[in-house]
Amino acid sequence: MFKLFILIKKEILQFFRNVPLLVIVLYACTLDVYMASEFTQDLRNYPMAVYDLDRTPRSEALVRKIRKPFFHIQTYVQEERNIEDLILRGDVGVVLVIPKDFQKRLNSGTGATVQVILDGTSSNTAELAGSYLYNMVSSFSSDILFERWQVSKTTAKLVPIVSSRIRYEFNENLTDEWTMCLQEFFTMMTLIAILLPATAMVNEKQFGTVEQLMVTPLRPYEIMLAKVIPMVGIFLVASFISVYCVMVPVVGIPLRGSFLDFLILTIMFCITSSGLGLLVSTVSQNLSETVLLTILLLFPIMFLSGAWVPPEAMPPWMRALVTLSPLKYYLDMGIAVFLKGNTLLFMWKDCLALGGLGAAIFWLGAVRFRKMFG
Amino acid sequence: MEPALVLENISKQYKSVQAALGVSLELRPGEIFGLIGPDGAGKSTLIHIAAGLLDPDQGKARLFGVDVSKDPEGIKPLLGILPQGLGLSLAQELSIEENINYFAEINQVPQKERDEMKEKLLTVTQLAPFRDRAAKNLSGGMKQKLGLCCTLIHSPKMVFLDEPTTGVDPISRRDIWYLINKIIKERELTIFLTTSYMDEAERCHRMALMHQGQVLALGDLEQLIAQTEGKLLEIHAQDLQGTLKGLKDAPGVRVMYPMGDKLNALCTGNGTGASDLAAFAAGRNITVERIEEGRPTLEDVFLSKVLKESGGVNQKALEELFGGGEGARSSSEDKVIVVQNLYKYFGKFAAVHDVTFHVKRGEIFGFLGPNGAGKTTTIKMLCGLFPPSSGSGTIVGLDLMREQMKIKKSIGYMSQKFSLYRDLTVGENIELYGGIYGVSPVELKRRKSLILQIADLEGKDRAITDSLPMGIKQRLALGCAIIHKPEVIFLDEPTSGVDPIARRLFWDIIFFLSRQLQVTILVTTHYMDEAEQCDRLSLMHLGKLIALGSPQGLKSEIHKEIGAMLEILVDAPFEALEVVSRAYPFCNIFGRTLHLYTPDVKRTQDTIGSLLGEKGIQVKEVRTRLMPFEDVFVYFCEKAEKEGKKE
Repeated sequence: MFKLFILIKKEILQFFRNVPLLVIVLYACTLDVYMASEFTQDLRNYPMAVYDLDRTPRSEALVRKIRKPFFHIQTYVQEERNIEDLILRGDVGVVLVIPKDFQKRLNSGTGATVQVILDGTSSNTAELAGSYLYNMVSSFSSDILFERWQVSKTTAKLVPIVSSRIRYEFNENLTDEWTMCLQEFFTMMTLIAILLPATAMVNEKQFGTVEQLMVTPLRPYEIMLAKVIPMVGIFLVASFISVYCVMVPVVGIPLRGSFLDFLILTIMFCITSSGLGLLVSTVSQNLSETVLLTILLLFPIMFLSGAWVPPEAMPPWMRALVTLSPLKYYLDMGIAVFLKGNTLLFMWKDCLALGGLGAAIFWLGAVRFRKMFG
Repeated sequence: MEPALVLENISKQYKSVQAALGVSLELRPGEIFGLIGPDGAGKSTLIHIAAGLLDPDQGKARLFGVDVSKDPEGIKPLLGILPQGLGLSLAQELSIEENINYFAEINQVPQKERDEMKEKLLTVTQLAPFRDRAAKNLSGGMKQKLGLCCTLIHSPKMVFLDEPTTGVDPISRRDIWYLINKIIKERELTIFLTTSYMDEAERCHRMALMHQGQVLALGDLEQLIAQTEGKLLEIHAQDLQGTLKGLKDAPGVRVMYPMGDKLNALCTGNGTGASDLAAFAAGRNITVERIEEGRPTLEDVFLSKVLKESGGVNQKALEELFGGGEGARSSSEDKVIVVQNLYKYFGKFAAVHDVTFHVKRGEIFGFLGPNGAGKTTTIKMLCGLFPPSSGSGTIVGLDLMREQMKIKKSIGYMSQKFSLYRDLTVGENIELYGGIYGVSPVELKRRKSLILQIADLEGKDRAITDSLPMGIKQRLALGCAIIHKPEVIFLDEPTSGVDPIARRLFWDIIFFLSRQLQVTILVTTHYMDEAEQCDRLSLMHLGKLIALGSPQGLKSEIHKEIGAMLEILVDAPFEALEVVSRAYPFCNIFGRTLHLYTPDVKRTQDTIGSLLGEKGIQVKEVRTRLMPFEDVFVYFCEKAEKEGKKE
């Protein structure tokens, strides 16, 4: 036990002497997480051009309907041939074309059409822009309808249309920085949890110090534990800093569940990732190989976590692989603890799955490690 | 004639270290210039400044008249550089041939020229049969040979070699020197090299001795030797360490140190002679076989210049560390290491093949062999780093196969890779290893202060280990390896790349451990003078044990087989070798002399002058000498190779 303590102390000393690594970890759990909260997937200031052939009060009313902050009208097109140019150059992402006779047709009651041309290369935003515009035009036309039928705001309820009342649970205003921030945090922590033990181990391998340890009466599992335990500790401190210095006070994410649950979850996840890190260190020969391999490993873990694409939208074989991404469990349960206030007990199935996966990966790492160094 | 390289008053300082202080040198075209000095003397710094890789704080470097710091790009086609470290300049994944092609391409060598040069280099270095082998799979010696080929492929006019032979076995070292001489003879080429092997430095045309950033001595070998004050006495005795202890303070003796199988003493000018010293020895009841006047070698020059300043071994601290009653020997067994028919296979390749030997308590047992012979593998098996494929053995009476954990408690290990934690302080390293071996905190505090004394690091336990000079690091590593008072110490090339003085101090510790404290030591080395100080030696080649015995025993074995050695001093040793080797199969170059083995000394002595004279090579001196240990090494390896081919 005393030996283990000595080794752990050494590991922590080495960590704090490695200034670049220290900076990276601090950056990942503070600034990086904060920056992620400023990135939003929502539509903001989407550049737009308007080609108004009608130039009547009606058409202008429609253009006025297009609101900030979603769209920003960059320019008014004067000639048709300019439209293609604008989109090709990427100056605008959407062009609204209001045809001639727009007002005349509306007033005559035949109904009018507007054309929306979207840049489909950034498909997600184009889709969002399309549906936002659709909503704006719909609301514009229902206004006209009400005006025609001379329905006042008070009597509007009497009009027989179906309206849906949408309520967003847990994140009432759909503050999308919360999810962005949490996702980034979980992803960065994955990177760190794999990288820290892997680099520490590979450094020993490269400098020959692991040989020196192996000729002492230490057992391989002691050497391994001495790598993993301090890493878990550093990891916990990093997540504590991230939660209580950035996410809760600065970004304003509510921690509705218990921090203890979150810590336990984090420990479970960290052990799993350390196993991956040890696995990486047995395969790679030097630091650069370790870093490359870790990044390579990180991508599938991220893709399969459901952070980018919901697993339900994946083909069946990929959906099967999702269960192998430790990040998926950490992300699902972590967000649930934060926003839904779930307890681990409530999510015992996922807990069990993460525990099982962790045990398997750690065991694999340990076996490889013993073979390499034992 | 315009000098090839001029260094004018070069100074360079790193933080607190003065790496160069007013160094001025001139290299003539076509000469081999050697830079020697202890670690951290500023040798590499000087090479980097001369090659335009580093700007000096002061002074100027001119290469063939071009100011290096003003036009570093312009001089590049003129120079080749081989950096320090085995195979560091090579692309590890590429084959030998691809590496050479790559270096030719970045230097824009025309293909026809490249192919001619490549074949020549591959032939001379005997790398041709392995041309498709990846660099990472080459032995240390082969890597250096390949590195040299890559440095020479674009026919540079000036070549910088930074410790080209450190960590390389004697056979590969001979090949490298053969290549250097062959190339320099064929084309106008100037070579600027650093080395920690003194016999190699003797082969240079001129040399400079550097210490703490300054040039202490400069000139050719004769000039340097002439600068050595006083005369050299060689003392032959059975018990070298005892004799050294007894005679060190004899009147008139300036310094005394072991040198191979004898002691060398540098004495003041006209004071002590051989007879005076013999009388002094007799007065102290020290048995000395004979004392004779010798010719100082470069190593003597080096030691006499620098040895004065270094302290000795802290014997008291060592004694105290191992004393204290606690370290009761686990068994009275006399044979501390016993190895029987040991095999280790990596796949189908037998890295260790049927090795059998034993080591007695308190013995210093040397393990020699070319790079890749299986020495390190054997040591690693004995330390329990991995299990043998078959065979049996005991260490301090414990079974090698079944009682590894117990064995680990009674052995110490220090590997060729410097195995302390560089980012920890001196004290933290000591505490770490003490803690691992379960030394109690109070006892650890005591041992820590002793180890600091042994490593000459008192009051520096807060220094970061990486900042220490090489020689001190090695002693600290040894200190950490003996913190648990092991009965056996395994040392795997502990002194590789360490300068002669630090090496001597290191060996003084080893001697003390073995002689006074009865610690058993198994050591591998490429330094032949160290090999000669072992009690017994084993020589490994291609995984097999090819010779086993005391240094003296091995020498007399050779004497029986090929005769006595003649040392021939000639003006052109490499040309002479080509002539002589036709008549005598056993001859080689040592320092600047030719060594030749003949069963009929008298006849050879008479005829050798005319044999060389016919080719216009003048013989300056012929005399019988005791064979140096390097010849023993090479002889047995070549014999094993011939027998291997017959099979």
